[in-house]
Amino acid sequence: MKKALSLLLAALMLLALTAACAADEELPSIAPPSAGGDDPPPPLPSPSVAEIVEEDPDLDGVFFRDTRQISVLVFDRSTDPGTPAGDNIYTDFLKAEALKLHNIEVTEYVTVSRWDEQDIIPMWLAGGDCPDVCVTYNFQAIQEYAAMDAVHDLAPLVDGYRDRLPHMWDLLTESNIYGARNPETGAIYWIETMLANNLRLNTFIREDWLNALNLPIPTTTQQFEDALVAFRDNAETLLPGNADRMIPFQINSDPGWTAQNLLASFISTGLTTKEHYAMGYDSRLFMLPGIKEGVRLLNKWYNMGLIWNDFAIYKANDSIVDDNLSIGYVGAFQHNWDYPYRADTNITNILREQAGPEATYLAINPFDDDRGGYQKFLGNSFDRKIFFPKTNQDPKASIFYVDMISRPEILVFMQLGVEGINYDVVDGVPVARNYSADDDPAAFEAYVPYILNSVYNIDLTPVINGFYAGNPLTAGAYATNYSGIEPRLISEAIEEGRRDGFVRPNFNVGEITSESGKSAVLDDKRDTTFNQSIIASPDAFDSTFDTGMADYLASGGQAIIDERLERYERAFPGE
Amino acid sequence: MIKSRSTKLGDWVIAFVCFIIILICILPLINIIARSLSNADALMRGEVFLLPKGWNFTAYQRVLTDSKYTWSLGWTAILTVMGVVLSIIMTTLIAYPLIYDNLKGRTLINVAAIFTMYFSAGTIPMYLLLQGIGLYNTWPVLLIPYCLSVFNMIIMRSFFYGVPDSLRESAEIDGAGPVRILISIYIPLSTSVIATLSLFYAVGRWNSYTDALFFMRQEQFYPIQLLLYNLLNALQQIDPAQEVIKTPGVTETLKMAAVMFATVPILLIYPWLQRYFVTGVTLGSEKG
Repeated sequence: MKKALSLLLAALMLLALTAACAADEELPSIAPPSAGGDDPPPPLPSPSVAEIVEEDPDLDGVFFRDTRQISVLVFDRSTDPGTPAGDNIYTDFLKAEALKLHNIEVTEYVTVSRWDEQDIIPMWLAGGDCPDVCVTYNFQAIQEYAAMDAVHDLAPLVDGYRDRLPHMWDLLTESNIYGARNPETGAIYWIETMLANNLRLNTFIREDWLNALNLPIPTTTQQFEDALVAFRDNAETLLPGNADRMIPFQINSDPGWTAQNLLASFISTGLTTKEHYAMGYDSRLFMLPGIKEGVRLLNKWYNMGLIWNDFAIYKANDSIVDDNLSIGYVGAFQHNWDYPYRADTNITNILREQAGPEATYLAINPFDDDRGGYQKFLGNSFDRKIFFPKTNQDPKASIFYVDMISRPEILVFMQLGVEGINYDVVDGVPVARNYSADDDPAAFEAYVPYILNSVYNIDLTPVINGFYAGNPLTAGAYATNYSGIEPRLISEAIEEGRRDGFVRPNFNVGEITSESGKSAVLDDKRDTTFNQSIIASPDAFDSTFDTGMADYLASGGQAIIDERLERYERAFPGE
Repeated sequence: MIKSRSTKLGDWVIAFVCFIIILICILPLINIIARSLSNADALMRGEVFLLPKGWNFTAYQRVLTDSKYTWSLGWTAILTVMGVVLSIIMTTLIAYPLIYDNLKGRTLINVAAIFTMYFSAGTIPMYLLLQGIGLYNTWPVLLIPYCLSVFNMIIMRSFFYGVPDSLRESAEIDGAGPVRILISIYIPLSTSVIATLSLFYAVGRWNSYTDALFFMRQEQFYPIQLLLYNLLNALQQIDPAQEVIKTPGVTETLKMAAVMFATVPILLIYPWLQRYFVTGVTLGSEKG
């Protein structure tokens, strides 16, 4: 017995040692990635489009002659109060519409926890238990499912029945439907759904503080720094009694997100598409050239006392990060383009209660780039991914279901709910009704069945995330529907958020195998490097950043650059 | 006993260290209680530490009147009781034969059991297995697959080793078989270890949610910890989409009230079993 245990422990130690040795391997260079072999890779054949299906004995137009049965996956966000994610008035509505319009019976809306889908869906795929129409947020997961041949190729369906799927094509367009097309085979294993609004980050500054100190709205990085210094030096005036709580510029433990517009302004605006693609794996821009100088500036500000001292220990979802904004300790910060105005965060409304009615966060563009503009990165219009697992016996019915949930009238109902209950139309614009469980419990109780479990019901209509722009009712809902917020602030946020925005190129050049399974470890190393470099003393900055970057590249970053480059050159020879 | 000055100093140091450890354990709990009873504004201003500010019981009212939580709490209690009974039976039935020197294949059984402490096949093979034997998405899936802890089995086996062989031998001379010996001698002598392991199993079952997360799709069988997990996630996740048509969210106080709601019942068990605890854990450690 003891012998067996000793052997087991010895084997474990050996395993651990091997892993440690692997981590100590020689670091590859940070130099620009090599182009691969000497011979240029052969160009890829153009994928062909499937023939249009003219006659289909199963169908009378878009109506199936025999009732078809499908099941549909829906994310469960445990909205509380809310209704069961897979059984509510909205799923009932969709079921009725599917039967009426296409003779499709949705047998079940199968729920999966929004936060565990990437663990549970592979399990269901393996057991043949996946619903017929599936959706995931996870790009790497869907790549793996496709590589395992666990999902249907949708190309024959989307091309073959194109004429009978007009709503899906109108909404998603070729750029999304072909967004995941394999350049070699033409296969489409998933449909990229639409992100209605691709604005990402804005920089916000306390407009009332600028006014109080007679400062201009910063339009350069230097002016922004001057404003932060002024906030710091006038803390007693701006925060009487709480001067020690002053945070001129708040970031959190994810500086690649909460200082991204600043970092982006340091990246050369002259990068080619190829360079952007090859070095653009990381959502926080970590491998793009120029990032180090951006982090150096953050390091300088940290050491000048301009950045929140405790930033490295608080994540985005820590309530203290938002509380600092609501209470009014923060002079400037970056976040989602409309973050301080949203109803769910309620930051501006609380701020005004706490710090006076004039307190306002204004969206600005202070970080000038090398051409005098304000380079920033917008999201692409891809959102979630719809796919049909191989166990789906009726992919044709499933694709007609996807077309159905792309219909304008269905989207409008699903996004707004029931007029007179969820909203009222005022001057042609839907205004949400507010219910309070404390003020009127009976009315609130009656409202509960109509609650949208996800914002705009995006989980039941996964074809789009954000308001549908094709209808005046939903399109007009944007700027006027921020409770208590002046429309000018929303308009500014949209304008500043778009200014000089740049959608980073993304191509489907086939699976990048070196990316598979790397995201968690690389993200962790990146955040560690960011945080350690920012809090380092200025003398130690270079060595801290360089060591972290070398580790990141050695742990898979360099391999990703190399493979992306090789794939790109194969897909676009000569560029 | 007369203590020297250095011994007294040593006692004070130990007492101080224990006090600090107690503080580390108890302060977060007090903080959660205070937060669950405070109003949202005070929470947001960061004014709540150990005492509630702006007393507010609505979160508790909400949790206690929501049938989803009360049913789940009751179901989890039932699961815990059933789980403890089943686990103790299984643990005893495996630990007991292993003390017999003449058991054929004893080493193999030991190695096979210990192997599972270090290696597991992962979620997907487990899922396929449970699906294959018809347990997936049925309530026994929350009891059977994890009803035996090898670690606990080793504790019990070691405890059984501590029972004098002479007791067993005398029973054998009187004509008792192995089952009779187990029931009449070993189990009555093992109440302390059974109580201790019951506590281990009860806490484990009470706190577990991953089995339900992966293998249970019927919400009425969700244990309280899974509801709590979902509730906390609902608060913490930030989606890129902005919220315009308002959906009421869960509040920080509700979160804390739910944490208390799920924690207090298991805390109440501790005092009842505490007196067995030290004896049970340490007695078995002398052999093994």
